[in-house]
This record gives sequence, C-alpha cells and structure tokens, in this order.
Amino acid sequence: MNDRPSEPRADTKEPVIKIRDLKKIYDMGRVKVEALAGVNLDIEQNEFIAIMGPSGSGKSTLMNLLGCLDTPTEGTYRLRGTEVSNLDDNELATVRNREIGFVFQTFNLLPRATSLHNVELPLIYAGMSSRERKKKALHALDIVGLDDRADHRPNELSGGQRQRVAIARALVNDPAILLADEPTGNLDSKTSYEVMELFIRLHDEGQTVILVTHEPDISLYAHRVVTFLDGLIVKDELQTPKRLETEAVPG
Amino acid sequence: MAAPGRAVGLGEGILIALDAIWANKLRSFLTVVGNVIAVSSIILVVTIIQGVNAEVTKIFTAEGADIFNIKREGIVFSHEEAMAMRSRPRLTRDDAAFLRTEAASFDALVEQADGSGSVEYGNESLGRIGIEGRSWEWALIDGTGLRAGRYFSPPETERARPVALIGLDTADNLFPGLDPASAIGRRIRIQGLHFEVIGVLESRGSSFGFSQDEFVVIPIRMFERIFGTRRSLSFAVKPQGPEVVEEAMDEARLLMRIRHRLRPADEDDFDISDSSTFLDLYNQFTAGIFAALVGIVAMALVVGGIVIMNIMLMVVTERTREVGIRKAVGATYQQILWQFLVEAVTLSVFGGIMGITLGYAAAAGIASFTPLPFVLVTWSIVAALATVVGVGVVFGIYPASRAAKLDPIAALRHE
Repeated sequence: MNDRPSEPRADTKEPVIKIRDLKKIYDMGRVKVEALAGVNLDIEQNEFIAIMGPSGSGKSTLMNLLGCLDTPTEGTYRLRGTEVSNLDDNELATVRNREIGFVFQTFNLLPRATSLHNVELPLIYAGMSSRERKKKALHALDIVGLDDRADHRPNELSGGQRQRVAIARALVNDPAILLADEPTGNLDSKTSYEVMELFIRLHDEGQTVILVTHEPDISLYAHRVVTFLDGLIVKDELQTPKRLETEAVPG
Repeated sequence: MAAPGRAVGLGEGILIALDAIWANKLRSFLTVVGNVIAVSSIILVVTIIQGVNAEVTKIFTAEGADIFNIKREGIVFSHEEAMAMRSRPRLTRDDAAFLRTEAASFDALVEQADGSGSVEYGNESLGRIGIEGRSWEWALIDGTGLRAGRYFSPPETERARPVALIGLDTADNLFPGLDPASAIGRRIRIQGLHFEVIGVLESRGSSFGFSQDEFVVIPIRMFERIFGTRRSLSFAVKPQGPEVVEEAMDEARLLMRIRHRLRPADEDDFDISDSSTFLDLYNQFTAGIFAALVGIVAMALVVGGIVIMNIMLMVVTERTREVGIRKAVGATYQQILWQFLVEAVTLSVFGGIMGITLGYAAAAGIASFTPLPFVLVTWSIVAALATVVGVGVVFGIYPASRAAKLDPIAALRHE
C-alpha cells in the first residue's frame, strides 16, 4: 500500500468531505480498468486543496465522484455528513444543486443566455422565485466583479470574464465545495492570475476550494497538494501558499 | 434525502423554446409544415362548411320551421328510385280538397306548383324566370311579406284570375328606375298572357350569392291553365301550432294512404317531409366530409409529428453539452424531460398557430371571392390547438426522455 490516509485536521468536527476506500472500476468488456483503487481522503472546511497528477492518474474520476456526477463502485463518500455514494440520479442532482459549485476548464456557459441567466441557472433548478433568483445572481456577479456585465452573453465577454461568470454560477447556491477542474487551462497567464486571485479571495472569505490541475505553478496557490498516480494518492502535503505579488490580498 | 423533480416553470420552458425557434427560424418553420398543413386544412374546411351550413339552414327553414310538405316524389339516391317514383299517382286539387276537409290538425294547406317562363312589360322582356302557382292560403304561410299591394283572394284563386305578385328584382327589371310600389296595377305578360300586378314581395334575400327575388306568383288555377294539369301539385301544410307538427304529419300520412287506398303492407306512394328532413340529410353529408377530413388531417399530423420528433432528436444531440451543464448545476431527470417536452409542444403549437392563421386567411380569401359567408368557428381553433399540443407531447416525449437520460459526464465532454 503506497497511499496513506490524510491526517485528520479538525478532530472535533466531521470534515466536509470524508472518503474511505473509494474505488471506481470501469468495465470495458474483457478488461476492467481500475480508475480509483481505494482512496482515503478527508477535506476540511475552508481548505484550499490542489489535486495533481498526470492524465490517467484518476484525478478526473475523483473529481466526478466528488462532484456527485458519478457514483463509486465501492467505498463511502460522506459530504457534509451525508452518505452520497449510493444515491440515485435525481438525488445526486439535488446534491449537486445544493452542495457543489463547478468551475470547468471550458467555462461551460449556456452560449445564448446572459451572464445573469447563466448564474441564475442553479437557482432555477432549486425552485427559487425569479425575484430572489435575480437578487442572489446579481450578488454573485458582484462578488466576481462582473455585476456590470449581467446582460452580456458569453460571446461578448473575454475568456477571463467568462470564467468569472462561471465562478459566480458556482458560488450562487452557497455550495459546500467549489470544485474547479483546470480552471485556468484555457486562459493566458495574465488572466490565469486574475482567476487565481479570485479563488484566493473566495478561500480567504471561508470557501472550501478544490482545484484539479496538472500545472505545478497553479498548485502553488493551494495550502495542500494531493498527488495521484495510477488511481492512488501518492503524495499529500501541506505547503505555504504562494501569494500574488501584484496585489495585496486582505487576510 | 433528495426532493427530485421540481418542475422548471412553464414560462421558463416556453422562453427557452421560443428562443430556440427564433434562433433556427427556417428549420423551425420547415419542421412544422406538417402541422401547418393539417391545421390550416381543418380550419379552412370547417370554416367553409360552417358557412355553407348557415346558407343551407337559411334555405331550408325559409318558409318557416313548422311548415311541412307533401309531394309526389321525395329525395332519391338512385336512378331506380327515381323511376319507381314516376309511377306514383299525381297529387291533385281533389287530394287538396280532401285533406282540407278531413284533416283536423291543419291550419292551412297551400297547393303549389313551380315552373318557369317569360315575363314581359312593354319592351322589357325577362326570359325563363320562376313562375310559382299558389292557392290563396299561401298568404297565410308566406314568410316574406309584401312591399306593396296585396295577396290574391280565394275567388281569384278558384276563378283563375289573371293577377300576379312579383319579386323585387322582377319589379326592378320590368320597371327600371321606378319605385316597386308603382308596379301595382300595371299589366304585364306572363307566357304571353296579360296579368295585373297586384302585389310586390319583400326581398327573400340571397343564397350563395344568387338573388332569390326574380319570380312571379300567380293563382294555382291560372298556373294550371298555362302549364296544364298533367304535372303533380305539391302541398305545403301549416299545422295548427308548433306542438302538433308531428301529429299533423302523421295525420297527413294517414289521410293520404286512405285517399290512395293503400293496404297496410303497401309503402307510401307520396313523400312527407319538413325542413328537418333535408337538414338531417345535409348534416349526414357534411358529417361524411368531416370524417374524411379527420382521416387526412390525422395522416398529416402523424407525418408532422414524426418530423418534429426527428428535429427534437437532432436538437437534443446539438444541445447535449447544454444538458450536461444543466445537469451539473442540479437539473433532475424530470426537469430536463419537462424542458424538452415543452420545447416540442411549443414548436408544435407554433405550427398550429401558423396553420390557424393560414386557414382563416384562406377562408377569408375564399369568402371575398365567392358568395360564401365567412364564419369564425371558435371550437375549431380550440380543437386545433388541443390537437397540436397532443402531437407535441406524443412525439416530443421520446426525444425529451433521451435528453433527460443523458449521463452528465459524457454530456459535458460532448463537442
């Protein structure tokens, strides 16, 4: 066994994410591919964690499981104290709606919808009234600094702005975790720093942030780096996060 | 723990659908051509038939709802029937006299016969216009009324006096530029014989755009002198009240059978009918047209529905990534299903509304070029809309369920 359970941090309280012996096996007919081979991981409230690893290491599979887009073959996954590894599709949808905020590499905004409507989307599925929805969505756009772009469609925004709209959408339902999959992968380095600055600020304000990336210089902003290889955690380290030199960030 | 299936608001779904229709205007239009054709043909045919109905009802009920007719020949549906009727005895003035004496439930019986011929005044000559022979009781049942003058009297009927009442158009044509009332007292020639005009009738209106006011009415005995007595008369009977119509028809039938010495096993050799007889027949005929229409429209709708289903399957493929996004942020199976179902229904209804508009435009166009009236039929709109909603649901459910079943991970990766 070359994976180690992560050390528990706040012992008195159950962590936001508690994963035990998580396995995901893809049945490809003749061969069975073990994408996750028994992973143990605890993530505490307000951690800023980077999940690293080469492609095929299992980090994307873990990302899908953490985001409740998929269910594990074996093992348990408790999210905010609730077991979510055995829920059906509709129950998973509801968990995603309430607990998860996704940020994707390709932004994944609805192309014909305005920023405001894109940010409102999770609230629509939560059954919120349109007035309340608009208020919360505008607030989320304000947090990412795009409240003046509420009526713009994605093709009227820059890449960095699109990703900030996507982050606003991820934040709008006050999720337990912000799950970002290569959020700077489609951005130039200047814009990448802007987006990372936003993640740092959100983390400073108490948000739990999980960043999946294969770029080492992006992982430097995290407090903790978990490295995957062949479906297992091979490294789990705390680090002093790098801070952006360009701007003072309030602590 | 989860509470699945909160429906996205109907308005939200319709907005998404309208946006998609607007984004693909031509494709959306082509998709719903089947619906447009089906619905517009329903609307068009229903509107036309309703217009014809209104006219036909007007004609059949023109002489009054209570009046029924005794004729030698009824409605025939074949050459054989027509031949058989020719051997029936004629209805004669003696039959009329018998019925007048014996029938207790009749208020009035009018002997009548119709022909056509020439009518002249001075240099004005009208060829082949309607010449109607009537007995004096016609004054009692005539629903048209007089513009001027009077009806003819019993003695004028029996003594075959050369007096005539004329229709409004006949008055205009014989005495151009003169007030119809000034026709009274003038002497006209009917089939070459001199007649005194004693009355001008009010307009009978028009039906299918043709004037009903070109005719003359003369005493039945005079009519027989001109046209002979070889043709059968027919009788129009006014019962003593609307409540005894059935009874009066039964009595007429019984008396006619006695008069013709029919045995119980013999069939009637005369025909008794009221306006409802013709209306029933006409309604059967239009019901046949409707049944054929329903078949054609059903086929058009099935074809239209299959096109909608195909396009929706394509739309689902095109928008796979969108479905992935929606599912990632928490849309449930039911919410996605609902969204695409509403989109299919909206598309179908969009076609339906175009069809309704087109159908009415065509009906209004036909109405403006023909004498047919334009009747707006509310129920046909309701039926058309209900049908296209049904088509949208039936043919939208499969594509919608395909969308709703998409795996969010695969959908998000879809290019």
